Amino acid sequence: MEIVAFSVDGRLYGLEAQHVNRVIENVNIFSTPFMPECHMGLLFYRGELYDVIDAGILFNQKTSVMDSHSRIILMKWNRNKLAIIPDVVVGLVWIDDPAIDQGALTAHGQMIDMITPDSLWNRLLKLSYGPGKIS
Amino acid sequence: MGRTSLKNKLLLALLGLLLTVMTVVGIVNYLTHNFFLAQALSTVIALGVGLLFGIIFSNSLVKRLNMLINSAREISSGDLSREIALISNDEIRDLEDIFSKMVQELRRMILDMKNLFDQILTTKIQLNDFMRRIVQNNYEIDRSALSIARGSESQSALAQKTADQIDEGLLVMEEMAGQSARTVTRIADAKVKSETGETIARETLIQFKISLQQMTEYAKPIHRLAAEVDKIRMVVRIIEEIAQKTDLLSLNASIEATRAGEMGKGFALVAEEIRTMAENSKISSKEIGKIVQGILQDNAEVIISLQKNQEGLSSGEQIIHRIITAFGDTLANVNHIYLEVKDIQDVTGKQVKEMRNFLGQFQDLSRLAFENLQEAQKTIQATRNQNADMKGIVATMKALNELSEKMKQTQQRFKLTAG
Repeated sequence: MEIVAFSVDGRLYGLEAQHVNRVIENVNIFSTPFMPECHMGLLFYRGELYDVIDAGILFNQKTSVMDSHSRIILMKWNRNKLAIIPDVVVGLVWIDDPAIDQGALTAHGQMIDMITPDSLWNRLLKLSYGPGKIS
Repeated sequence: MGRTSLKNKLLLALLGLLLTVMTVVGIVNYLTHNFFLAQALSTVIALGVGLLFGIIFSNSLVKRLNMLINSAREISSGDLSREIALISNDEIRDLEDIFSKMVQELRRMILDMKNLFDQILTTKIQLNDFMRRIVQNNYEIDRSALSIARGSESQSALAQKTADQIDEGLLVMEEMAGQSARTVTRIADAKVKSETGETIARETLIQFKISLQQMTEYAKPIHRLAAEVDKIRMVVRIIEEIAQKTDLLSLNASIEATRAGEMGKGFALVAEEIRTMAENSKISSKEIGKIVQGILQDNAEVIISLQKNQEGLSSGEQIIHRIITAFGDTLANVNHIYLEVKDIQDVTGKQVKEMRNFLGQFQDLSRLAFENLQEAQKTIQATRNQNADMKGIVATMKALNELSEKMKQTQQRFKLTAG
């Protein structure tokens, strides 16, 4: 199975490639009020709105490294759309016999934490609302 | 009255006597006509008259001679007050006259002697006073001459000592003059070397300016190279951007191919190849970027080095300017010192010359002082001789005093006036 691997704070994470719509960079992100801290805002890509999540804050309470070349992974599953910003998008990685929401090993023997869009979504739903001020 | 000598008197008396005899003879003869009687009578009368005349004449003569003898005796006893009576006109009168004149002359002589004695006495007193003063002056002269001799001796010794010191000073001054001459030569050498140094510094400055211009010229290609390399870097950035985009494109293509399932496998291979190519491009562009960065860094270092060199050259130019200024100042100072030392040399030469004259004068002074000493010693000796002579004069004066006393006593023996 092919996954899109990305790293946050030196740790590898994997998303099933089927749920990844696009990897983009250099787009405008518009902040929205009353959102959790990891919610960076909304981006508009090809007529669709994506919630942009900082993976660093979400996973480790630490802001991801962002610049003009930071890549954003756009996910679409069911009717949901979500964009996450990792530190580095590693690329497509083939893994054998994966177990969803469990760790897997790459061919190079690296441990990857597998995540699903739903787990991300559920994790977001548990977060409290943020301040009403738009940063 | 005419002069009648004794001879004439006697002849006259004889003639008178003869006349008388003849007269008597004639008379008797006439009266008696006795010749013999006449003869005898006349002889008797003649003898008688002759005797009488002889007694009278001799008495007169003896009396006058006695008067003269008495006068001479009185005169011999010192009485010159008697006047000699001049009675007749015969030879006795001459004798009286001469005697009277002799007495008068003696009287005048004694008076003259008395006056002379008085004068001698006065002169003796004056001479005594004069002698006393001479002795006193001689004593003063002797003392002064002694002081002069001592002073001259000290002066001579001092002058000799001073001459020796001046001689030593002259040696030192000659050494100084030699040193000044050597210093002048060295300063002249320093002047020439400073001028040479200034010329070399000016030539170095020109070379520096040429080097600076050449360095500026050499720096131009390096700056151009930097600009070109910067352009390469921009191109490399574009390539990197393209590689990035290609990588992103290949990633998305791979994702699309994965989502396409079996249908997208061929596309996935293409995407993989594109990703590999993008990766290689990225690596290559990174390598090129590194190389360009290295070139730029090296170039920047070269530029910095050139700038530093230029700054160094500018600093060197300024330093050489300062060196030239310093050389100019040094040259001016050396010139100044040269002139001053030259003046010192001239002044020292003049001083040496003057000191030589001074030394000569001091040697003359020393010689004069020595001569003064000798002359003072001679003066002392002469004064002592004079004192000895003065003693002789005093002895002579004492003898003269004794003679004066004797003369006085002799003069006192003479009575010049009556009463």
